[in-house]
Amino acid sequence: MEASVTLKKVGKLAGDKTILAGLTFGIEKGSIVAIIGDNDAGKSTLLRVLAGFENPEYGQVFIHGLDSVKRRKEIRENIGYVPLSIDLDPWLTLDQNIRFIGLLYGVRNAVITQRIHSYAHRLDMSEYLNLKAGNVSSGIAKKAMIIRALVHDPTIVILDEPTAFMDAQSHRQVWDLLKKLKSEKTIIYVSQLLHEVEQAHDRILVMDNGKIVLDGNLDKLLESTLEFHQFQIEFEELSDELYKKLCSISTVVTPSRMNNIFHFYGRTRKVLFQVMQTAQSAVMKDMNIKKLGLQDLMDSEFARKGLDE
Amino acid sequence: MILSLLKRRGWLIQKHLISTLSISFVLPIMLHLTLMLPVKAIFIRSIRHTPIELWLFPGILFIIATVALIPHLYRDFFDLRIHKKALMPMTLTPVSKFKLTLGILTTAVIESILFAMIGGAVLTVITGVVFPWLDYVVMLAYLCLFTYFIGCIIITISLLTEHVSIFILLIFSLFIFIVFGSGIIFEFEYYPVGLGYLLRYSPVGMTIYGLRMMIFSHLFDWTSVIVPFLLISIWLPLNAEILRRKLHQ
Repeated sequence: MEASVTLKKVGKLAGDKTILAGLTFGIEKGSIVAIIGDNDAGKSTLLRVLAGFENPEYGQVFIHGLDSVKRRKEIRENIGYVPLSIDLDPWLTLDQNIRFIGLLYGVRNAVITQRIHSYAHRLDMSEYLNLKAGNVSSGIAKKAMIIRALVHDPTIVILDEPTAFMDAQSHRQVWDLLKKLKSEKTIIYVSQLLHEVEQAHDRILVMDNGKIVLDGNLDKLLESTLEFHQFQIEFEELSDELYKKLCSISTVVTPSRMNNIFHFYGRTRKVLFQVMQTAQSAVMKDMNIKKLGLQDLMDSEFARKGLDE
Repeated sequence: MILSLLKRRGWLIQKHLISTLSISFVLPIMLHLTLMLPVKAIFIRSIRHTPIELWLFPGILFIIATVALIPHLYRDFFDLRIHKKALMPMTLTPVSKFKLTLGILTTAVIESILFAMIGGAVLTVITGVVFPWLDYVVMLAYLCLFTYFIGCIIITISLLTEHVSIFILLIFSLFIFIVFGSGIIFEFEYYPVGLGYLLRYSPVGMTIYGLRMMIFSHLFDWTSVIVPFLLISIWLPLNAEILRRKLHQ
């Protein structure tokens, strides 16, 4: 597939700290790419570099084959960027905020009006357009920022937490719109809402310390975890002695406890029977078994230790 | 691009129309009462025998224009930058930093000149001072040059400061220099010789001096136009570069 965005050894530093560590990857045209990772992993910085909001210290970013530094003007026409925090002019109305940026992009006023009304209708926010940005809720302001990023009809839309501050209905409306735009635009976004990422992606990039540590779709990312299950057993009383015994079972992976709840991972369900056998003298109150998901993958302790026994 | 910025400015003024209009009428009245009247009581005529009200008139317009210029540039280059508001999305558009800086400055200059024109009309009504129409054109041209130059200084201060207290301190210092050190109230001959000479040839003093020479002596001083113009031509791209560096773009 044709690459929309290509990064070649892109690095960013903040003093002595490496924020982006020589990233090299490409993003296909017309795909939805989610970037996830712990706080301070470099996700938002990566988005800012992709959007041209900040320059990398070294390496190159190519947008549709054009160098982002040398061909800045052409590239900017192709990118729509929604930052995490609200950056609208609080003294202007939402309509004026969007219209002004549209005019700076050289879009005709009539086209801007048509696009604002079309997107506002889809996001159910037409009634807020004439309110001052400083007087609307953060969720509504974020929706206006999404419209502002789309008003010049960019081919690449970059969003930092696209549904931040939004209620459930707004959340659905935003994703309905973005999924409809997917066929004509490349969508790159950062989110901490892993259920949102599981629902909306063609590809997930997992970042840690400025590096891409995992790359692929959900099934691929969970490949290594497919045989693993997460177990949770609640005892009437989980003594320290019993906890130590359970931890010593060789097939029990990354055990932990919370009061009387014993939590662990295991490759086969057989491990459960081993645990139950070891704990036969104790009274079990409740039990829960589930297949691993993105949340488990992102569990920091899990990620650091890995899934291998 | 300029039209988009002017449109935005129009929207912003609309939001504060009553207060903006009130200030544009009150400010010249205040300057007349607190500056023109006391100075008139001290000096009846200038050193070159021009009636003091006539002599002060262009300077008062320069003060009004400066007062109108400060909040506009402060908001766009300091407030919106520090609070990561509307300046950021503007810098992501295909408009270059130079054009953006020039565009914002030009809208601020237009607005401040409109302010000065209202102020001039109010002062004319109060004082009865009337100039030949060609003098108003000359005043407008010099005012334009002056506001562009002062605007460049205000933009640099707005971009280089990170704390509002430092910004206010520097802007007050600049304002005091404009009022008391540029020949608006006291002619350069009243200062010690060396200092008077320095102030007379400072770009700010030079502009006001050149304007007065033109209006009251009908002498055109090229340096009073060329020097500020050259400085503006150098300073504007410098401001655009400071903006680029400040935003790490």
